[in-house]
Amino acid sequence: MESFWVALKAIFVKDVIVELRARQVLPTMVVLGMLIVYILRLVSEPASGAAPLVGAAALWVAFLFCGLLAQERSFAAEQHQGCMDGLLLAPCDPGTIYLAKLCVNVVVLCVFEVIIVPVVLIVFRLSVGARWPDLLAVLLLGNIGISSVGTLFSAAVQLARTRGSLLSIIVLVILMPLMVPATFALLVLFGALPEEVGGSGSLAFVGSFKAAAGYMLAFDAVFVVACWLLFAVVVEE
Amino acid sequence: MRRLLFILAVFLLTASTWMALTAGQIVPVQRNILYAHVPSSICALLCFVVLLVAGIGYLAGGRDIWDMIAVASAEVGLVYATILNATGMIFSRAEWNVWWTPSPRLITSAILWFLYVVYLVLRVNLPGSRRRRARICAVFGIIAFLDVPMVFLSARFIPDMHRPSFSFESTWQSAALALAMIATVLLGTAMIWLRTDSLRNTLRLEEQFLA
Amino acid sequence: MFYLCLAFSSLWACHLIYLLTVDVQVRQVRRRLDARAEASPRDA
Repeated sequence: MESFWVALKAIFVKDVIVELRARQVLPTMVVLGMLIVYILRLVSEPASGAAPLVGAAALWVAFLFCGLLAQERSFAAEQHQGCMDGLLLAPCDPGTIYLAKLCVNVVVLCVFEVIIVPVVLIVFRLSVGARWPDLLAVLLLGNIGISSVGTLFSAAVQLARTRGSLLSIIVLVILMPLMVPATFALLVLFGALPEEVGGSGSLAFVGSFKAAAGYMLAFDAVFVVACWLLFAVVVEE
Repeated sequence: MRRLLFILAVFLLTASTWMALTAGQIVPVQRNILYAHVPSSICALLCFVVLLVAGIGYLAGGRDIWDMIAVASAEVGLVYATILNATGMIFSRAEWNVWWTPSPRLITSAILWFLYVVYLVLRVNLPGSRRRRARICAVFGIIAFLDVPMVFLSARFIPDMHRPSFSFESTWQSAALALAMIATVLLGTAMIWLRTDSLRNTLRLEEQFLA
Repeated sequence: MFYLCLAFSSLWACHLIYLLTVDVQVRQVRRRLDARAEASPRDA
């Protein structure tokens, strides 16, 4: 048990230090995120009444695509000079490597979130008022979900030349169900939907905020555990 | 044996179609698309189960046959997901005059279709040895299977606007539907079997070439 | 009625396209096997 925490901390610290020194991933992510937000704002200019919806969509699309960048990098760096073999020889389960990389990706996405959320709120003229802890919680849940699947498959596609696009299609298709309650939760927080939406009508969602958050939590739990267990299979040689 | 299965499946399918269109016809005539739509949805979901079992079987045992069953079930699953989407869209065009609407049923079928497509694209594009590719595809198959209930749960957040009431007015209708479901499952099984066999022969040919 | 026929024909079309694809593949394998058997006559 002791070696679990030691290995986890060691890999986590290593990756964070490498990223702080190289400063490659985060600036690219921020630029890509801001471009996505601005493009979505430009194309939605005519439908200005739909600002909360497009804002929520812009936020999640930025998270998804920039998260993909970060996840791809997290194992790309290990391909040189046999670093991956070195990691696998460490006295810990492969699952520990997965958890450490997952923590790194979550932290990177959190830093990204701190920068991009104010941009979205300003550009789309939204506000969450007093509910910003809920906003942070929803974003963290989405964050963990996005990173869990991406980290697992990033290790799988590293040998391919088109690793970025392969990773993108895998992650996007698996995360499609997560985006529905995620957008719902954000819309509730932006004030576009009431806390509980029932029945039909012209609204785009039904359900309650609690149900959406509960779903995201369940999704994260299932996929983090599954990816943790399957990581050993992906990296074995 | 397989030929028998095929013949049986086709016979049952024709029998159920005949029964559906005569004794069990649902009144607005386009609702009979249901007899094509529901069995193919059952089959598409069952192909995910086969994908899971084959993935676990391959990871547990390492025998190539599981990998071939996985690919075969992904392809057959794609066929049924295509039918599911096509009949779903035709049904929505017939009922509500739109080819597509963001209703949970259509979104669910779209995600299932994409899961199969990504499995097959991954299969083609992954580099490395055959074993590595099979292993990673098995992992994707397991994750995709875990995704399927998530898809259905997330569809609850989308309002199901116009839901036609699927109540059966006579036992002929439910019998026809049940028969169609059994027939389609048998047909799907036969196709997976056929495809696995053809893949096994291809593999045998290639191994003979290398040996 | 038109849509019903469209739906059922799409069902059969999908099945047939898939079976044809598998059939083409099987024929290719058979052709290669036959070419192999022809090219390298087995010593009895």
